[in-house]
Parts: sequence; C-alpha cells; structure tokens
Amino acid sequence: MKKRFYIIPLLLFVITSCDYDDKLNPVPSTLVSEITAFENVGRINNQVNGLYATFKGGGFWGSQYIYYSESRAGNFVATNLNPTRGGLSYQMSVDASTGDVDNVWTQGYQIINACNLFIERLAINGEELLGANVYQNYMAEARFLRGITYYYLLHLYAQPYLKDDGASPGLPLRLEANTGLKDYNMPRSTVKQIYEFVIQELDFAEQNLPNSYSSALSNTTRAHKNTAIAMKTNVYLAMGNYAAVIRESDKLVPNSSPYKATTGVANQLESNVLNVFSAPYTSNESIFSMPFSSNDVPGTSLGNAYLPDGANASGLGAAGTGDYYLLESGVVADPDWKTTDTRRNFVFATPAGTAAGRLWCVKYKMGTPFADYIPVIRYAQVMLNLAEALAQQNGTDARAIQLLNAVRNRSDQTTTFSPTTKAELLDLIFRERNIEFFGEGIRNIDLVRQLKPIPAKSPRGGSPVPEVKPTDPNYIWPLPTSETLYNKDL
Amino acid sequence: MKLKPFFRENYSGFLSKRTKTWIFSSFLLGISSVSLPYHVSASDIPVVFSKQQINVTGKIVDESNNPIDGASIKVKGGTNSTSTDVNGNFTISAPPQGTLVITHVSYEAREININNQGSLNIVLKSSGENLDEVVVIGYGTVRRSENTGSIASVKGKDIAEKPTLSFEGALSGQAAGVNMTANVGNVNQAPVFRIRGTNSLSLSSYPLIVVDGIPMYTEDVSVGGNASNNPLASINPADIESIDIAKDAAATSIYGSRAANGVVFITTKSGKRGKAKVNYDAYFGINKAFRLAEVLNAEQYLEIKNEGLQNAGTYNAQTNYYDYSLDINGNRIDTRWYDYIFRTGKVNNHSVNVSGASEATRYFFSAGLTKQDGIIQGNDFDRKNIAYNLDHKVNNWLKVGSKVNYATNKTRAIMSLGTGVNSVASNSNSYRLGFITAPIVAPYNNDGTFNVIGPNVGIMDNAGHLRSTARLGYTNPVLSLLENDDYTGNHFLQGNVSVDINPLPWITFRSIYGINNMESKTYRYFSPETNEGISRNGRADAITASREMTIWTNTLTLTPKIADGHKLDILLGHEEQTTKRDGFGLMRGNQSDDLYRNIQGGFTDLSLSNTENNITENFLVSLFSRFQYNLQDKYFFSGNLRRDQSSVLGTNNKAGTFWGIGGGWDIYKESFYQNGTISQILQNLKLKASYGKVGNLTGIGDFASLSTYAATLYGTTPGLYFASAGNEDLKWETSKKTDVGLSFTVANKFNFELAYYNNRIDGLIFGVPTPSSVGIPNPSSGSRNQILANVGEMYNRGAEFTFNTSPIRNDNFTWNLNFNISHNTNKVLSLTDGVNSLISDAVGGIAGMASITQVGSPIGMIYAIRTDGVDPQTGRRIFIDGDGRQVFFQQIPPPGGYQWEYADGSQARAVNTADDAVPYRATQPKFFGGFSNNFIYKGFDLDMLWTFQLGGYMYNGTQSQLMDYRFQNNHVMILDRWQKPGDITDIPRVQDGDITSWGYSIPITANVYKSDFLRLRNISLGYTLPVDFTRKGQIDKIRIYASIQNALLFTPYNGADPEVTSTGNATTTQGFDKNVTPNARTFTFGLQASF
Repeated sequence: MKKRFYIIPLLLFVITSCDYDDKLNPVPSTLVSEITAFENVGRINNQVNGLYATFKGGGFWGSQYIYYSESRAGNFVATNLNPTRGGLSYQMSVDASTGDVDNVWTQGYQIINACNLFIERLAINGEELLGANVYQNYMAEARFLRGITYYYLLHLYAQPYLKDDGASPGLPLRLEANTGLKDYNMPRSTVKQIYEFVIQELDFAEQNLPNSYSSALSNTTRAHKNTAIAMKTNVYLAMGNYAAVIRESDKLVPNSSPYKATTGVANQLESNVLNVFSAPYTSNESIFSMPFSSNDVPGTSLGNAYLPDGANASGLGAAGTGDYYLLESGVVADPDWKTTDTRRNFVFATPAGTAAGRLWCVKYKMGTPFADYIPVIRYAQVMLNLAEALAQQNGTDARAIQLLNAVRNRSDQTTTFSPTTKAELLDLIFRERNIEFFGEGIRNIDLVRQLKPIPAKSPRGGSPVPEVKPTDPNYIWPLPTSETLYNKDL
Repeated sequence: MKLKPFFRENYSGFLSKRTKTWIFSSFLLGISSVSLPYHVSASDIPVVFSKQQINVTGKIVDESNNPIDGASIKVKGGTNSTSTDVNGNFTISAPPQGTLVITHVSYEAREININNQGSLNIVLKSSGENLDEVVVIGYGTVRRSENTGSIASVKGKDIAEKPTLSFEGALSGQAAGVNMTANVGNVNQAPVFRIRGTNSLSLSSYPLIVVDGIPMYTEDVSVGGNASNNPLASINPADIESIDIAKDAAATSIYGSRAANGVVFITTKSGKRGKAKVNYDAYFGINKAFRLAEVLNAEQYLEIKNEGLQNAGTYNAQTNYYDYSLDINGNRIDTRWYDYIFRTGKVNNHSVNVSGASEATRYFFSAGLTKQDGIIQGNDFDRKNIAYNLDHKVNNWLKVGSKVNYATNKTRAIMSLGTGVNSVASNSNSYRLGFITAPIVAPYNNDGTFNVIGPNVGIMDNAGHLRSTARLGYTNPVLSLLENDDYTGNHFLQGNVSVDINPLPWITFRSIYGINNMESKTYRYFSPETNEGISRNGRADAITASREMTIWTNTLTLTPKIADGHKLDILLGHEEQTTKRDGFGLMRGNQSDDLYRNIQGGFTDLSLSNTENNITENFLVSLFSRFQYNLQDKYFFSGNLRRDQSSVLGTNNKAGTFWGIGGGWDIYKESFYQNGTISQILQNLKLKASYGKVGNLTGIGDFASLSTYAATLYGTTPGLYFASAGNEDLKWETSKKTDVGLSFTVANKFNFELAYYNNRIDGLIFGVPTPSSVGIPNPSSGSRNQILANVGEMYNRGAEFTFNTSPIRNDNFTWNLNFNISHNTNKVLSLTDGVNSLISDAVGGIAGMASITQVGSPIGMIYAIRTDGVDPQTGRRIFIDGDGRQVFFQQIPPPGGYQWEYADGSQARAVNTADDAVPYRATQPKFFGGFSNNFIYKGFDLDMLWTFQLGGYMYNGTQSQLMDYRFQNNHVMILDRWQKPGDITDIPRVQDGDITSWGYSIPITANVYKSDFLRLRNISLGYTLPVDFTRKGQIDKIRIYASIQNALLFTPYNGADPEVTSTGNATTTQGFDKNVTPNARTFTFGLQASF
C-alpha cells in the first residue's frame, strides 16, 4: 500500500530541483539598469534630454525657482500667503526648514549630480560609442547645465559677488558622481570659486557645443555655442566684470541695429515680444527655453501660479490658482511704462467683482495643462546685459542707449530715452529689465547682484512686508536643514 | 498521583466506524441537552467511597454547545482519571454515588454527582479568558496547554457583532500587547496596528496577517483617490472563527523574515460535525460625529475678525470691515458648515452562513452584505462577499479541501478626509472646511446659485467693504459634494486548494496552492464648477491597480509515537510565493459638455496618471522546519527554523536564516507542587520562555535595491534619467526577541498572565540621509538624498498583564471580567555614523508639524518650538528660542517695534524649526489596555469594553487651523483672547493675518497635549429568547441586541479625538492630528438567529 506514496519524494524532487535565480533577480520591465544605461547611442542621447528634464524639475526651472524669486522681488503679491505656494518667500520669512528653501536647493543639486554622473560615466565609453564630436557636444551640454545651475543657486543662497569680491561662503562644489553611501562632508567654496567654476564650465561649453542644431526646437531647448555665450554675459555681469560682459556680448550683438547674432544660431530680437510667449515658442529670440507638452506637463507650474482664478479670470480664456497677482506699486506702476506698450498685453485686470482691477501676469497664458515654454535666457537679456555693462564702464554710452531703446521701441515706438547721466541710464536699464522680464525669475537676481534692497511690499488691504536691506539676515536664504544637518564641514 | 496525558493517540481522527457513530449520536444528544446544564455546588456533595464501579460515559461541552477536548475527569477521592476526546466524550469507571471532578485549563472546574447515572452531559463555563483549546501556530495547530509561544487569542464572535468593516479594528483592548489606533471616522481606513511596539523606522510595522495560510495585503492601498482602502476589509468579520496573535519568537519565527512585527493568524469558519446549521446575523444602526471642535457663530465671528483688523491697523468702518450677509428674507446668515458636511450615517449588515459536516465532508458557505455610511457626506462603503470552505476525506489516507472568499467592495470619499492616503491640509479637507469656513456666508447666494468666487467660497454682502480677503472659505463643500464623485472599488479573490496525504497515521503530507488577488479601480470626476475641477475645466480620472499573489506550500508533519509521556511533532516545509503588481491610469481634462461625468465621456485633454513604472514583482522562497516535544505534559519544547530568500533584497544578501526556540513548564502538574499547600492557592502555574531571531522586509520596494534609470520626457523628446540609487547590500532587518511568561490561577477563580519581552532590532533599514547637495535621486521626492541601508538599532521592551475572572457564576447570573494592560518602552540605540537624529520637518508633507527620531529616545518624538504663553502686557505670543531666550511675536509691530522682539525691545531673529525646535514629547503611550465586563442574567447579556492609554502625547495640528487669525473661523476658545494689558490668558491678541502665533507653519509646543484616554469602546445589551419559545418555530436560537460603539470618552486631549492619525500607518510620525475626522459614535441594533 505504501507504494502510492511515491508522490511525496516526487514532489520533494520537483521542489528542490527548481532554479530560483531568475525569480530572485527579477528584471524591471520599465526601468533601465545602471549597468546598461550607457550601452548604446540612443540611450545616451535620451540621457542628455534627461539632464535638461531634470533642470526643469518643479523645484527649479519648472516653476519654483522662478516664482519663489519673483515673490521676493517686489512685483508680485502672494494672494493667500499660502506657505506651500511661496507665501514665506514673499514675506521674506523663510527659514532653513521652509519647503521653498529646501525645494530649490535639493532640485538644484539633483541637476548637478545628474550631470556629474553623466560626465563621469560617459567618459568611460562615450567617445568610443559616439565619436569624438558628439561626445564633446554631450559633455559640453552636461557641463553647461551644471555650470548654470550653480550660477542660479548662488543668487538665493550666497552673498552677492560685489559685496566682497566673492569672499563670502558660496556653495559646496560637488563634481563627483554620487550614487552610494560614503562620507559626503564638504565645506562651502567661496562665492568667487563658484563663479570661476561656472565660467570655466561655460568656456568649455562654448568651445565644444555645436554651432546649431537641425531644428528650431533644438536650437531653443538644447544648448549651443550662443547659449553658452549668452549665459556668460549673465555670469560676468553678476561678477561686475563689465569688460568680459562686453567681450562676450559682442559675439552675439552687433555694434548697431539690426541686432542679430552673426555666428551660430541667428539669435535676434523678435519683432513682437508676444511671439516669444506663443507657440511654437521657438523664435530666434529664445536662446534657451524649457519646453513642455501635453504629455510633459509641469508638476507645479508658473501659469497656474500666475494666472487669475475663477471670476478674476473671466474673459481671459484661461485660469490658474491666482496665487500671485501683480503688486499695485510694483512694475505695473512704472510711470514710463505706457498703456500702449505691447508688453502691457502681459498684464490682465480682473474685469469685475470684488477684486475688480486687480492685475495679473499672463505671460504664461495657456491655462491647463500649463504647457507654455519657460524662457531661461533670451536675446533681449543679452542686449540689456551689454547695455548695462557699457553704462557701468563708460557712463552714458551711446551704444548702451541704443540697445536700451531697441528693446523699448520693439514694444513701444513712442518712447525713446536719452539719459544724461550714468545713474539715469543705469536706472532706466534696471527698470527696462523689470518691464521686459517681470515674472521670468530675473528680478531677484537683478536686485541681489547689485546689492539693492528687496523692496517693501504693501498691497492694498493686505499685510505689508517691510524692505529688506542687503545687511539684513533674511536678504539671502539660509542653507536648508537637509544640508546643514548632514554636512558637518559647512 | 499520576496524571494521564491529555493527548490521545487517536486525536488526529482515525476512529472506528462504531466510535464515529457513537460520537455523532452523542453530539446530537449534546445539542438537545444544552438547555439543561448540570450545576452542583461542591459543598452539597458527600464524598462517597464504594468498591462497586459503574462505567460512566459522558460528553462535555462549552456554553455554546461546542465539545470540549482535553478536559480532565477525575473521580473525587479515587485514582481513576481520563480526559475527553476531540468530540468532548469520555468514559470512566467510577462509584455510582461518586463525584467526578472536571477540570480544564480554559474552563471553570466543576464537580458532578454521578447519582447512579451511566450517561452525563456536562456544560463547562469558560474561565473568562478567551482560551481556545487549539491555537494556530502557522502551518499547523497546537493545543494551548502545549504551546510554548506567546499567543493571544480572540474569538470570532467577539468581533463579528461590532460594526467594524474589518476585523482588526475590533481588536482594540482585546489582547495584551496589541495596540490598535482605529480611526473609524473615515470609513474603511486601516487602523494603526502594533504588536509590542513599533518595530521599524522605514519599513512597515504592521503585523503579518495570515488567513488560513495565505498572507494578506495590509495597510491602506491607495489607488489614486480620496478613499481609504483597507485590503483586510475583504474578509467578512462574521466568517472568522478565531484570531490568534503570535507575539514572541517561538510563536512567530516559523514566518522567518516577515515575523518581526508579530503574526496574526485568522482562521475562518468551517463546518462542524452535525446536521446543517444556518446562522443569520444582521445589524442596523446609525453613525454620528461627536466632539467636533466648537466654532464661533456669526456674531462672535464678526467681533473677533473686526477686532483682528483693528489690531492690525487696517480696519476702516467704510472700506475694510466684516459684516453680516443677509439671506433672501433679510435675516442675518449664520451658517453652521458642519451641518452640510457631517451627517447621521446609516449602517447595516447581513451575514448568513450554512455549515455542517458528515463523516467525510465538512462544508461551510456564507454570504455577507455590508453598507456603512461615514459621518461625512459622500463617504460610504459597501461590500458583498461570498465564501465557501469545503473538505472531504476521500479515504483513510487522502483528504482534499478547498476554500474561496470572493468579495467586492466600494468606498466613496468625495472630499479629502485628512488622513493616510489623503491630503491633510488640502483645501478640500472636509473636517477642516467645516470649521474654517466663515459663518457669515452661506453655501448659496440669494439667487440660488452657489456662493463661489473662482474655486472658493465668496464674501457675499461683504463685497464692497472687505478688502483684506476675497473669500470667506475655500472649497464650497455643498457644491463639491453635489457635483463631484470619487470612489475606489476592489474585487478580491482569495482561495486555495489542498491535499492531505497520510501514508501512515503519524505522517501527514500537505500541499496547498493558494491565490490572493486584488483588482482595484478608482474613478473620480471633478466638475469644472468646483475647486477640485476648476483648474482643469472639469476632470475625470480612472486608475486601476492589480495585485496577484500565488503561494504554494508543501509540508510534511511527523508525529512519531515514541513512548508514553513523550510526544514529538516535527514539521518540514517548503513555500514559494510570487506577488505581481501593476496598474495604470488616465486623467482627462477640459470637459466639453456638462453631461460627461466619467473618463469615457467627452474631454479634450488626456494625460497619464499612476502609470509610469507601475509594474513590479517580488518572489519569496522558503524552507522551514519546526520541532515540538512534549514530555509528560509538563515539559514542552519547541524549535523553529526558516530560511527565506527574497527578490527584494540586495544581490549580495538575498537569503536569511531565522529561528526561535521556546520552552514551557507546567509546574502545576508536578507532583511536588500538587502535594504542596501552595497548589490550593495557586493553580495552573505555568512558566514559558522563548528566544529567537526573526526578520522584517515588509515595505521594501520590489526594486528598491537596484540602481535604475527611468524614462522621462523633455517636452516632446524622450529622456532617460538616473532615478533611483539602490543598495546591493540591502538585507533583512533582524529582530531578536526574548519572552518570559508566567500564568496561574488563584483560588481556582482568578486567572493571571504575565509576560515580559525584550525585542532588539538590528540592521534597521532606513533611508540614510546624505546632505541634500549630494543629489541622490529617488522617485519619491520625500526620500531624495536617502539611501536605504541596514544601519540602526532599537529596542522595544515591555510587560503585559492579563487578569480575568468570573466573580459571579451561577445558573441565573454570570459575570465575566477581563482586564489587560501593557507597558512598552521604545528606544533608538543607534542610527548611523554621524547621524544622531532624523527629522521629518513636515509630517507626511504637512507644514507645521515635525517629528524627530534620535538616538537614546523613542522613535518619532514631537519636535517643536517652545512657547511660554502670552505676554500679559502686550498680548504677544512668547516663543523660547534655541538659546532659551524669550522672543515676542506680533504680526504687525507698532512703529519702531519689531515683529520679533526680545524682552528688552531689541530685534530678534524669527524663530524656526531648524534653530529653535526641541525634541519635546514622546508620542507613544506608555501604557495601554482594555477592560471588559460581561454579565449574563437569564436571557440577558450585557457587554462593556473599555479601552485606555496613558503616557503619550499628541500634536494637535487641528488647533493651528482653528486659531488661524486670517478670515478663517475659530474655535470658541478665542473668546478668551488677550484684549488689554493685564489680561492673563493663553490666547494671544488677535491680529489679522497672524498665522504664526498658533504655529500654522511652524510646530509649537502650545499645540501639544496628552493623549491619555479612557473610552467605553463598546457597550451592548442582548436578549436571547427562551429556547422553549424559539424551538416551537424550529429555531435554535434568537438573540437580539443593541449596542453603542464609542459610547464615552474621557481625555485631557483638547482636540476631537486622541486616537486618530494623520499619517496612516507611518512608523515615525504617529501622534499627529491635523484636520483628521474624529471617530464616529455608532448605535446598532442587531439580530442573531440560528436554525
């Protein structure tokens, strides 16, 4: 009778003969293993796009870097003082544990580490796979992004270069690929060291980036030679190295009109500024912009933050959450900004109701899903950078005044400035930058790099926020606790 | 004196046909005699000695007429003794006028006068505690008397009639060492379930739940909606026969790598020998909110808000002030928003089952229907389930079986409920909307339209003279409740087939193949008119998620007969378990016609939701063995060994070996003890001890150990980015558990159980933080710059005490009393090099609350900035900064003053969490337990269950919302605010715009309260109709009852409820309450009938 129990040893045999190796090491079907991530040209090309995509993460150029900066800088009012939507940045009362401070820092260094990893890994087999040219192009794109990320972080977390020639504590200069646990303590480099590093990266990028790409889209969304040059004008301006600003700008901006780059991508001032913020967003003015699409929507978005909500938006055709409206006494109050100026189209007034007349920034006007491209740098900025450098260096410089008027006249033919003093010219440029770029995340940098106070904000009916002087502790942001708690060498 | 062992060789069921027939008829006889229990007082019985002997046969059953196995029968004054078999039958030779002494560890001892009867039917009353004869130990059962582990048992009937959707919610207070925070304010939310403390930092601390051998999915499963979704709600509580909660290493180690949090064995009902029995249970009831925060009415609101404007200097009698709005009849509007959000919910439940067994076949079929409305509008649950359980003995060596449970349920939650998978601070959080929306406006305008400005509640008649705010609320709840929908539904299928082969009576080979599938779907629709839908101009989502588990278990059980007094039980096993998960979803926006209310309708935008990388799998393969040895029913020894290999761990550490040993000594059975006088005082004295090493891996992502790149988009072009840094050394958390237990009975009446445990956890897995400038990515933004690694150490130590007795017990009146209390101390011993504390700045992403886990302290302490009341001179909130200096705050300083000032008037820096917070209070209670009383008087029964906890603290984040000095409505305590110099109060001066004084975005100690409570969790009164009466209708039993859940609550906690959680089952962030819906009070009326 016991013969029928042969089934037991048979089953035991079946069990013990199984090979579990495959089952114990399942291969994800949607994730690429680090081992194969640099296996072929397609993947590497996608990784380059991935670096840009990281740069436009929600915490950085996807929106938060921009609207936190703008909420400080005096043109906007945080409608609801909502701490999760930049309310504390607006009130100049962030601390080391505020989400705003952590989000930008963390996303910034996510970009930096992604670039570091890419640079390190690509160096192993990239040249062999891609050929020397493309290899250098890709390296330059990664180093370009790494460099400008440091540049943008400086303006929120470090004292201005001009305060003490960059002697203040800057940022930890992370240049290695970090993927595992090890000792990550690192002191802050000085502001000057970081600036020098940024310049070094941009010089490399200028030398190794392609002159142009085959499509307008790529010319706008991927870095080319002119992109690196344009960014250098920003960096040198913040350093107060006006000669270098002029030297770099001269590569893109001719001595006189028409203002159009003669090498590489034909970057130029678009005839109508409205085109810059309209589909397809790839005008030659847009030297570098962050693209979005219906399948690549921003997580938190500028449009959503700026566009008026509900009844405030009636007649506009798009609505957001109305987190930020334009301060009555901010840029919109500039006496030289005429109502006929084309750029007034970027301002929308609540037509009726309790908040009738409230003004809103509608540069990013698409509405849901808020897929407007977001400019990082455009040709107008290079022109005004150059104008400012010329003015700083030469006083009432004729070319500087021409550049200023070129930007003004593009949108307002009826105003032509003829300043008589250096101070007046600089003030006009400063105000022109504000009118031209309000909402684009540049104002805070313009204030801080020139050691100007963060202006007081006194919205009608709302709580006032006092002026913050460069000597005040809240003039710049502290490093976030996510850094200070775990980096013992700061 | 020599005792015969309880164990009988034929207990596994190889009986002769004659014996079976005899048992069967005895069983029927037993049923028919249930109404005539013998009860004889011991003092009435003369001790009779006679040389004449008769054979007495009998059957011993419990109060529910279930046979009692292993009861000991002794002839008083004589030497004969025996014990009952599995069917409760016994035969003994005794003098015809003698007395039988019946004892059993779980039942009250009885003496029965034989009185020359050859056949006796005896009812034993439970000794109070729920001690089942057999306890489940994983891949088998053991009799309680032989068990060496620490296992608490709860009977199914103790949870079935409580109106909880899932069984574990009813375990509160029922067993020592088991702590349950059951938040029943939100329907279908998984409770926070802890056995002997929190045993992990980053992984799950939820016990492993095993239902008839199949591991369950646990904790809320979010499928992208607002609804809580407790997968354990797939089991109808009425189908549960028993729950055995294994706590120590001896009891849990058979589950190796998943045992560190304890193991809960659920045994579902199966057929019992006898004719078919039909049970029908039903209850109906209502659900109500209680202890909601009391808020200002319109008049009080105007007083406070206008005072706020005045104090801020922005009040203007023409252009900036708050005033009444008038309704269509010209009356002042005074809206109680709670009335639109909360409701009296209806509860009803029906369960029916049919069961029975012939000699060869046991069967059980059941069906259940449950509907429960939450206390919040639009939050409801319904479930339908059918189950069967069948086994058949083909012949004397082959047995086959199968069971299936199919359940489908649906949970709706139109608005956010403030916990677990929900957003706590969302502007659509229902409880929050109830208390912050201004009473001076109504949900509707006078023309009948909804009162909204954009997404928010508008200001009605205040338009024109209120500049400081454009809204007087956020979401209009009436509009959202009317227009929107959001629900998650599931199909559950759990089942197995099994075969048992007995080549020899002492060898059992068992193979079980089981599946556990859960298919979930969330549908939601947000109207373009509502706050939720306005930004997308109407939106519909559909998300699916599927989980499929297959498990194949093979065991060989050997019970070789060695010699009398020795019993050996050896288990060898092998198990493979594969779990696959996937899901995908779509979101559509820009509704093209207001007809469309689902994803299939007309919308112009389309995007993905919960789709990317949403496909994973894991695999676990194990070999295990258990050895049990019983020497003379006095000495017990057990050993468990399990080797697990899991796919989720690092390539270098896939395998782990776990083990546990336990011993028990039944001192009471020792002759030296029996002979001593102490045995008259202390009975059933038993000592147990165990030690072992078990593991934890629950909650590690399936691919968490891998470093991977994921797809992304850059505009329209494809991208790939470094998404996740893995750790190829990732291995199990190990937990070394020591347990010592002592149980005894005093004066045959008072039962005590004591236990001490020490659970030391090494290799704690947590996301080791690196500086955020390191730039380590993670798909979840909260864990960026963290790398999972085994680094920390922690312990949980504690003691448990259980006491039960029946102070009164006679034919008419019975009183059972059960009390348990547990004490647990938790301490983190180390984290990782250079990291002494981990701070969650914003608990679960919620601003304004913070928790700290630091070496030398319990995990998850409240981390807050100290406050020191209110300055009597100026009414300013006083903060204490990190240096211990007082800092005074006011939103709008007078000219020359500062927002932040030191006492000397100089400017101070703003306080912040990083510089000024201190580890303030531990959240975990030091003591918790339950106290139950059960009275039975004739047909009436009264049950009361009290639960309590002591020694913990809760952060009342709701208070920071209730004391918001913007337009939001306030708690009535604001009426005691500071108004003039000299006022002594805890409520700072009201200044419009101040959200700092009450810690809206910074954690402050003024919001911390004790979470002690004493709760009458359940009181029920039942009546069983007289048997004589029901028999006429051929009904065995009818019982009707009424009960109240959450009847009374005594607590110093000033929030709504000290037993809620904002963060679901998170380990380090318990003890935080922010806008969480409080527990409901439920009144039910029930009926139980059996045929």
